[in-house]
Amino acid sequence: MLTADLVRATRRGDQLHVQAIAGKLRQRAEELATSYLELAQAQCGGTQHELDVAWAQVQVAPREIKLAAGLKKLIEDACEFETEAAVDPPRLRSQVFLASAEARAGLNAGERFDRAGVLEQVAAALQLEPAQVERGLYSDLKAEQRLLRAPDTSATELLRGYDLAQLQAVLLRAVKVTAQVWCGTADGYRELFRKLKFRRLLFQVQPAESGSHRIEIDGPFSLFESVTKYGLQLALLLPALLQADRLELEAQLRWGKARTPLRFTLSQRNPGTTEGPRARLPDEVEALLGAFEGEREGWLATPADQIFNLPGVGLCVPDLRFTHRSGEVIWLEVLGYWSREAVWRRVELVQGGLAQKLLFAASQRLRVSEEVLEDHPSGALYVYKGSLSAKAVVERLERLRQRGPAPGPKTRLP
Amino acid sequence: MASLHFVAGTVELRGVGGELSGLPAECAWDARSACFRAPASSYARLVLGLRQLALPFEDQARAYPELDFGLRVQRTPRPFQSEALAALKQHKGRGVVVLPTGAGKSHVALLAIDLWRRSTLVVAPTLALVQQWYDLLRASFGVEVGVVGGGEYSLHPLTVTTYDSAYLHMENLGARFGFVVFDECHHLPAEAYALAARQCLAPFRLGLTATLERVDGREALLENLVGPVVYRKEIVELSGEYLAEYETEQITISLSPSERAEYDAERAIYVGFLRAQGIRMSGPNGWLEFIQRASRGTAGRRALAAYRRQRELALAAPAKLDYLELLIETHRRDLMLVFTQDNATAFQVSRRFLVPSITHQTKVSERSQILERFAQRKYGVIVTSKVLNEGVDVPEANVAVVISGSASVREHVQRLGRILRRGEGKHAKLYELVSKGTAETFTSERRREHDAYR
Repeated sequence: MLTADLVRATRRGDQLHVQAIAGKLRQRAEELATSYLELAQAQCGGTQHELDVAWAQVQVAPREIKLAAGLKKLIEDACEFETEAAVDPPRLRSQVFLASAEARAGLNAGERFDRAGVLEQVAAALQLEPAQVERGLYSDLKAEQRLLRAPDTSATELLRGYDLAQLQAVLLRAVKVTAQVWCGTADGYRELFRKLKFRRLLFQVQPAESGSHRIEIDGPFSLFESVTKYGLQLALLLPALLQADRLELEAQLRWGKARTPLRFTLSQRNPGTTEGPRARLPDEVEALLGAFEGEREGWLATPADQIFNLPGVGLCVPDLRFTHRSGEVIWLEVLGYWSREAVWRRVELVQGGLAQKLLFAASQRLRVSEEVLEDHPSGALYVYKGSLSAKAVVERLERLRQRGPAPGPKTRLP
Repeated sequence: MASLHFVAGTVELRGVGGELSGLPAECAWDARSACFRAPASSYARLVLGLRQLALPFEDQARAYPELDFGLRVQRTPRPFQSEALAALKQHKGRGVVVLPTGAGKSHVALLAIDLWRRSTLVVAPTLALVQQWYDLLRASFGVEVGVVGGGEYSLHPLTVTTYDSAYLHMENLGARFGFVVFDECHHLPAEAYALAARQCLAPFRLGLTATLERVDGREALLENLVGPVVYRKEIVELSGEYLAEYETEQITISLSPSERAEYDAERAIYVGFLRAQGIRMSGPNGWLEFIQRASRGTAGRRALAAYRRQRELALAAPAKLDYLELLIETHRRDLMLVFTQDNATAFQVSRRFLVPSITHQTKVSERSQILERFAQRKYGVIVTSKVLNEGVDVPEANVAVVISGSASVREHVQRLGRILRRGEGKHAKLYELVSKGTAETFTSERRREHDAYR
């Protein structure tokens, strides 16, 4: 990853703009990337210092310095280095410094310290040349490590990585990110929230226009202080956010040494995903939707476009929305056969007082019983064998409909 | 029932509604997780607040045990150590103790751990100090001691870590210690480190330092992060009785004619650029402005190179190293520490005189071997960059040479402190090698402003 100081950015008012590498500059960047990659390949076997010297030979105009440093950083991160192992440097140092201290202590007044003599003495004891001793003395320093392997990527790939790395490096200095995301499928959202949770970030999610959701993301301590402590987690989350069909992101930053408060915005539509024809759902969900084509026993099925979050308890992203002729709505989330734990979390969600009615479909293989939520007014479990049955779904929808209105969030007073 | 939980450096109060009032001010309703939340450092106040409200609660936040052991080695404390402990006790176990390097600050911490008997985290600025605390705690309490940092991660009721590791791990560790000791606590007000202090729920806190004052004046934050200054003794009040006598000598070294010519030429380029651009280096953003403008054009880049070269000449001119050779020979029966400004100069000295170096890149085992051999007089000289600056015990050293250094008063006092540890009839000496007629002369003047440097 790049560090924040390597980002090519300009400030306009309170906004930070990352300079895109486009047009002629991109051509130039590809030239630079090609040179650096080729030199790294050619320097395999040499020291890190020699690689730096070789790279320094590439002519770089003053305004290209940051770009060049960033490219070199990414290549270096992908390089593999090792310490020259002929003589163990700490052992060598230990012997040389002991010999030198002894020699110095034995000097009489007026005698000079014999540096070459000490090196020769140690070299003889180790059956080496004095020059080898001198060279090996600090061969474990980073600058003297040997380059084993250089990355085998193309300049184009490297630049693609650079584009992302620049955006991630900006988020390293973020105190809060607000992301408006459009995902075509419930799975897209689930993956995103799974990653959010994995990064131990906190969020608030609100439905926004045209089926999108606005997610405000920061960490526990952000309640008291705007801290960049979560910047690394936010940067690591960015690739997951960029998976969305469309993303409008705004980050609040503390930029530069002075930690100036700045805003950063990012807007992206993924080519290949469109908002026109709807995205294809997982096969079993698609099949169930097909079975409700038109209407089935008073129920109309459509792909779901909402996320239900009960702060402090959990979150669920339904797959389908069932609307009854009477206007009542019940949501279905298909939990499949992956995680028994997920089923218990949904049960907690229902018991915590979710304001919507939800049906959860779990495979028999998860060894859970429908009795867990048998009489709950706002939630039910549908345990299925093999594949989802439209008939069984309707039965459970009806039962849930007849249980009366959902109670809504519990009052949380002691 | 209401319950308290430690979550990522904060304390959550769950099971109550957002309308509950009467909690401490720093405790806020968090709609993201439908609970009250406070910085972990407010844990003690929050518990008192809940008791005052007579609200029953289950404490699942506190994860620290009380110690079932105490000091194994009893040493009669010196009067000022007992006074410092009494002052800390008066302030309910939260406060900063200011004592000169070498006066035995760490003994105050041992006494405090023994008094409160809570599992304790000691936070120190460098790995060398971590190692030293590790040895001290093990020997004093006779138990296994944990280390977090420098590639190690082991937790015990007594654990030592660095400020950097504390920043990284306090989110996970913050509930496991009831007492936290911040060694060299003038580091703590830096933004990231301050966060670590706030993410820790330890009700008992002790800060130790020789030099409270910071260039940025942020030491005022310590009151909130640790506690008030409860005890303070200056270096002059203790010298002679408890510290070695010391003398200092500044040696001004002229550059050779060719070095001088090069220095003047490079400096003229650098200064010329500053003038042309109207940059005032004495201004608060002078340096930043210089770096920014220097990156914009060929003239700027040349000026930056010129700046680096003239600085290099002033700091580590060959003439200085020649003089160092003389000092090493003169003091070949003594134990000498050589301090440099940067790693490059430390390696240069190490290679040229074949003496061991300790830098940030030196591994703990090698560092420990070097210090051990120095104590056994198998090594007579150690060269180091900033690593040995703080609190590391090198009681054997009686000569220090500062080849180059920045103008920070604190750094200098600590270098001085290094050779001031108590020793029978010990007489310590500090040399400062400054290049004549260079910008470094000014740095040295500023450095000597501190009381200790007479």
